[in-house]
Amino acid sequence: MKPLLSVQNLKTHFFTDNGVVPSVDGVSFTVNVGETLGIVGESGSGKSVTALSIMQLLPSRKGKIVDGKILFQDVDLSKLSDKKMRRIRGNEIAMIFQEPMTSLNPGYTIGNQIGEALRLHMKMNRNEAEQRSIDLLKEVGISRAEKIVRDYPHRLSGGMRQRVMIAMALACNPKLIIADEPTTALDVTIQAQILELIQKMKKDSSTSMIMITHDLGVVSEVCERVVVMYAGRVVEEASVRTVLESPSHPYTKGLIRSIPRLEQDVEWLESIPGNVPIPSEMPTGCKFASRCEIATDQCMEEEPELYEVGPGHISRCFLAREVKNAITAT
Amino acid sequence: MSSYITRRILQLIPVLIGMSIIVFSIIHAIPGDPATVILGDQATPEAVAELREEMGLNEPLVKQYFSYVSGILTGDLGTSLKTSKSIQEEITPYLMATIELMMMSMIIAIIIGVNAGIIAAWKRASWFDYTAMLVALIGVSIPVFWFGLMEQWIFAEKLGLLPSTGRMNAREPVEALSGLLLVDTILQGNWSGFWDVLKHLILPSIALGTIPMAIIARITRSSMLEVLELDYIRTARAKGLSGFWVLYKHALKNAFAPILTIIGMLVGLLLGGAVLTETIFGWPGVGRYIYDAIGSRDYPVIQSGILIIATIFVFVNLIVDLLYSLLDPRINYR
Amino acid sequence: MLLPLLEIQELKVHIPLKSGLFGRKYSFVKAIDGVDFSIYENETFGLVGESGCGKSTTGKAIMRLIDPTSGKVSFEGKDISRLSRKEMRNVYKDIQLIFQDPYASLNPRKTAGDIIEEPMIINTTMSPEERKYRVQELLEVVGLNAYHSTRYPHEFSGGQRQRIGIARALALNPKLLIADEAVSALDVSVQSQVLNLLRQLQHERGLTYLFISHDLSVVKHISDRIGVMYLGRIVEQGSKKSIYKNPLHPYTQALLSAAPSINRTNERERIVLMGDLPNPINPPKGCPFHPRCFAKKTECESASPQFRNVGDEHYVACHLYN
Repeated sequence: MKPLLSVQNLKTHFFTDNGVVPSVDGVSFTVNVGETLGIVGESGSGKSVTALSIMQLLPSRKGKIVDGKILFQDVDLSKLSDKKMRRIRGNEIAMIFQEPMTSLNPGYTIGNQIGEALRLHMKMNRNEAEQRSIDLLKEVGISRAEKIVRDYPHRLSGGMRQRVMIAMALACNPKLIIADEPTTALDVTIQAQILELIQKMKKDSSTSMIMITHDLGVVSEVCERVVVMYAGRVVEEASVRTVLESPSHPYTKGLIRSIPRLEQDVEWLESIPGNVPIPSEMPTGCKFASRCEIATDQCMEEEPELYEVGPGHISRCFLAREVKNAITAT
Repeated sequence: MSSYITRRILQLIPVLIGMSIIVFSIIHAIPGDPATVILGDQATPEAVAELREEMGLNEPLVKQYFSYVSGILTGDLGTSLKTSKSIQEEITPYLMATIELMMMSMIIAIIIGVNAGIIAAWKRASWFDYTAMLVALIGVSIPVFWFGLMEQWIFAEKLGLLPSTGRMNAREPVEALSGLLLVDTILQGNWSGFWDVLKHLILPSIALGTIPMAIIARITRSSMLEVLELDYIRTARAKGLSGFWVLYKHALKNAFAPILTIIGMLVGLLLGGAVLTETIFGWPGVGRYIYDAIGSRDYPVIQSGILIIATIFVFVNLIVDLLYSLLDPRINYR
Repeated sequence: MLLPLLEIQELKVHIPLKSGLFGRKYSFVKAIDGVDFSIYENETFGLVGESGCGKSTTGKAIMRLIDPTSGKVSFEGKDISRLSRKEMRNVYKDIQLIFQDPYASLNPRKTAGDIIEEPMIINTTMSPEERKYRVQELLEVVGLNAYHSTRYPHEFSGGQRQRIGIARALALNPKLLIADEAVSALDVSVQSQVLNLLRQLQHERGLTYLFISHDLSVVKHISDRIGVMYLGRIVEQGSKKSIYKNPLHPYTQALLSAAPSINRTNERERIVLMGDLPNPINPPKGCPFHPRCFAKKTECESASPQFRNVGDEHYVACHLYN
């Protein structure tokens, strides 16, 4: 089966006054039809820049895609004209952002903002757009949708606004939804509501989804496959269960062990020493080597490729290659 | 909402009272006896006494103030000392001439200034941005009288395209109804008169509008730059909207509040600052009317002129305040 | 019986809101509406709840960054809720605050050394040499190096900045540290470093913590006893073990089940609460949680439940346990 989206060797660099920052440096992954892919990483890993690159919404003067392909239904988005890209944005690929409080325009009604995409892409008139907006609001679990559609965003709570953002993303029945930390800014009980909504949404449609998050708990709840990013690279990719239960890369392992868990009681948490290196101090070899407890001299000098650890499981670590070799040898 | 408007209007009452006190006391702030000052050193004591009686200066101060205010409230601005005519009748055509000039200037300033600011912000750090901001800097820096004279020299003297002074061709005068001649000619269907009035308006309104235009362009640019960084702009772009809609629908509405504030203040600036332009272009406006009154020490006229300009300024800013609520539904009216 | 280091009794913070034609009508945001708890020496008390529940306001009211409307805050047996600003200075030697946002709470124009030194200049008579020595000592205590003292905040990562914030808080050898969302802005891998540091400091220096956070698993990890806040009140309070093993209040149960977990095998029945947090200007009558409660009884709509001990120092405010 052909993937819906195939990102190949994507390199997005930021050109700042202090030099070039390779935020995304050779990232590849695919999203199949109907699948939810998680992209996990900490701040500075390049996960959000990857999303903005797919949408072609990088800050125009600073961020540039310098290499690679973004194939969406076999069309390379990175080569599309602005006009053609606008026909895809909001129509075939929609996005949900992190900050529901600031992601809606305070000056226009909810109905106006949901209806905008409908009028633009589906050529609906004002009344049709409002009717469809009401239906969408009901779909995302907003009661009194007829009233809310005429309300301004400041009258709604954060959870309600995130529902509106989801309704907006669903408006034109997109083939792919990119959700960038959709629950991070929300309270725990509201986060649970939104996650439940996202799960229901997945069940009801064949829409594919990319869930970008720092929270492995969220990944565990909604994703089928995960890509783990570190310092602009993919360091591990596998099914959710594999990554959470038998991770291969030392970074993934450290990340999972760092999380305090409700069901465990430990005196000390395991943690990854140090910090993500700043771009100017990025090591030449493995980008994680300076924080890795099992790094060898080879790791310091040479950057590992992605090695296959098992079926559909790859890891950017020399250790993974050795494990694989050991398995094939026996 | 209506209680908000009521409250804002009620809040104007003390402002208007304060203004009337200041304007009233102008005549008493002059050192010495007002009547003597007005008539000059050579005046006979009888003439001074007569004037004092006529101006009510022998009454107690409080009574003078109340009769002044009750006069204003009934639409009686008093009598000009120089022409002995009713001031409100005399001042109306001048006031209308100034309002027409000012409105034309502001329309030019807003249309060009706002759009230049938006495009400069959108194409930040491009040649357009640099050029527009340089022009804006020059715009606020050049003296109005020099600019006005240069306009006259180029467009009237050298090219002969536009008339240099006056409101209309004196040989084919336009009949005034409201005093806003562009409106009047349209109402009368007098198209040749309309073109004539418009031609006379162009040079002075550009001269008067240049500084506001430059200020508006700079404010628009900085306000837009701020708004364009916000999350909902990214949301709008993610919907597939074109640059035009992102800028003029999503960004401008939220960036407009500071621009509106500046426009309100510029209206006041233009009302007072029109004197220079009116003098250069022979424009029969209220600035020149007051200026002449100052020359002939016609204090009642000076008082009324200042009062009218200040009142217009206060009400323009009231309108600005009310317009905020249309721009931002979050403004709390309670 | 042991005396508590900090004792909060019936603490209320009502913030007035002006309204009406001339701004004379007042309504009140009941940010905190009757909070009681005690913290004993060398323990960590966790305060957990969602945004707007009043957990941060509680911290600020103890530090007197907001003045309490009524109630008592006793520190070492002395009521500090009515002290003047000047008298509070002495208290600040013993109680220090660690903020959420390490980016915003450090002055960008000062070096790390200056930032850590500042409380010593204000509150002690130490000589410049003594202070300098102490700064270097503190930097090492929080896992940084002495040479970091001449660097500016922007040269540090988020985790390192939070360490500077902790070093500053430790400068005066306080007895109580109030950590308000101290690790919330940090990445997971760095968050665990800072949590370990806080625990290590507690072991070494006998510190007492009031740990305020929205993150249940973090609060559970670090705390000995926990209070769960909802709409300006503590609805349940008890030892870590009893709260997590045997949550009684429906809100606590919902909170615990709502947190996304990476362990799918350990699947609990998820309770998804309906609706949003009510407006604290007009809190619901009776039990403030009743509009969202899945175990609501009729009396919950009218009568406010008592906060009572249900055994083993486990307190709950819910009509289900009368």
